[in-house]
Formats: sequence, structure tokens, C-alpha cells
Amino acid sequence: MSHERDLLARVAHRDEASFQRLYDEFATRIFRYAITILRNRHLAEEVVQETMITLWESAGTYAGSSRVSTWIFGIARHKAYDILKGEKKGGRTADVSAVMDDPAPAIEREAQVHKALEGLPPDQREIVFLTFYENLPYKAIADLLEVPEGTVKSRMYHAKKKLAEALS
Amino acid sequence: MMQCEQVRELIPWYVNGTLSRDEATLVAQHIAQCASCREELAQTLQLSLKVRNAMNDAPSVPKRVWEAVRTEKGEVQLGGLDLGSFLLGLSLGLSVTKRGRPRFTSNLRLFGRQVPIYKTREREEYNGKS
Repeated sequence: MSHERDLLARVAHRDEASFQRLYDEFATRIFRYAITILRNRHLAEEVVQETMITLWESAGTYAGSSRVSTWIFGIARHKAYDILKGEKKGGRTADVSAVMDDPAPAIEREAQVHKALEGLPPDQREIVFLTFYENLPYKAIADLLEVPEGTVKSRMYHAKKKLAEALS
Repeated sequence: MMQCEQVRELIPWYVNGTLSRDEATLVAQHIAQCASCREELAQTLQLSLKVRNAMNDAPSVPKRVWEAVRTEKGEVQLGGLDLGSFLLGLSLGLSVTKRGRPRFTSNLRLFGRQVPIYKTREREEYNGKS
């Protein structure tokens, strides 16, 4: 059993220490994924909180057919899109300025990459994040996004093209 | 032998090391003979590093989220009250933790946007003192 599966199995048995370890491993990754979708740090915090509560309550429902990380990102994705739908219904837009207003000094080169990523449509941005930051296989990304593998490849193709233009 | 187009579609996942052994072998064989796909590989590698560095520099989840998760998973909701309209909304909640400690929560929305009501320490976290 992998380390992550082992942790999840312990969480299913209400092991608090394992839950905290699972949180330590995934919270910031979920946060950054949610920011990628929502472009808003406050809403991304909500996603982390709701995803972790769901993990605490439903760890026992993990079927083991996918990677643990893919399963967890799937939960986070649903939470983020639920929030996104609510935000759109309320006539509000994402708070893009909230993404990189962290006082940690982002060097200019990285700020340019963030700006280039912000210029991508959300579905392309998500694939770039999952491929280059989370190192997921294209098949896992297709499962997570519930789209054909060809769609994942084609969105990546367009994303790379736009990023290359923006960063040239 | 794979065509350039097929190889280029797979290059991002060749770079992140998640192709199947068969796919990776085919990509490697093609790249060994195709200068233009080698160039594509080099560009994708560079892009991947840039994205990774930029994401590593993105904000980490604030400490208060763990506190909220820990509290929420251990508490029983006693009741809540929602007041207001879309323009101005106020929610008040009362819950109790497993240890029997009562917890009061509040949430204010103004013109549909959530207005954070944080304690001083939490405000400091947002201002970079976490």
C-alpha cells in the first residue's frame, strides 16, 4: 500500500495524527490548485477547508481505482467549481489581484509566468498546473476533468502556444 | 515510427515522466532523429521549470485554515441564523466542539462579496506576518 493510501486508510479509521499528516501533504497543493481555478485566495481557503472536511468524513469511500492525489484533487475540483458557479450566479468575478499580493517577494521572472498563466482560459490553466506542477499523467488528468484524453492533449497544445507567446 | 504531431502531443508528459514505458521509448526514438521535436522538447522543459518555480513561489495555505478544519470536524452544529438580502447579509451560527466548548461564528456579505471578519492575529497573517 502506498504512503498516501495508507494515510487515507488510517483517516477512514478516524486517526487524527494521520489526518494532520494528510493535511500537511495536501493543503497547500489543494490551495494552489483552487487558486488556479478560482483566482481568489479567500475562496481557495474555503476549498481547502471543505475538501479536508470531506476527506475526514468520507475517506472510507475511496475505491482505490485512481491515485489518492487524483481522487483528492477531484473532490477539490468539485468544491471549486461549485463555488465558481455560485460566484457567477451572484454576478461576481474572481479577485485576480488576490492571487499574487503575497508579501513574499516574487521575482519579476516568476511574476511574468503568473501573468502569462492568468492569460490562459481556466481549462487550459488547470491542465498546465496538473501536468507541470502536480506531474499527473494525461490519463489521470482526463479522468479528473472528465474529458477525453485527446481534449487534454489539445488544451495543452494551445496552452503551450499561448504561454510561449506571452513569455517570449 | 511516430509522426511529429503525435510526439509533440506527448512531450509535456515525457517531460513530467509519466508516459508509459512504450510511449516514452517511441518519443525518445523519434527525438533522437528529429531536430525540430528536440527543440520542442527543450522549450517544453524550460516552460515546465518556469511553471514549477512560479507555483512554488505562490502563497501557501494560511495556518488559520487548519484551525478551522480542526474545529469544524470536531463540532456539532447547534443552530444558525441568516439575516439580510443580497446587498447585505449576516449569518450567525452557534456550535459546540466535542469537548463541549461553545463556538460562535459569523459571516458578513456586502454587495454579494464576503467581507472577512478576522481576529487581529488572522489579519496579521493576511498582512504577511504569518
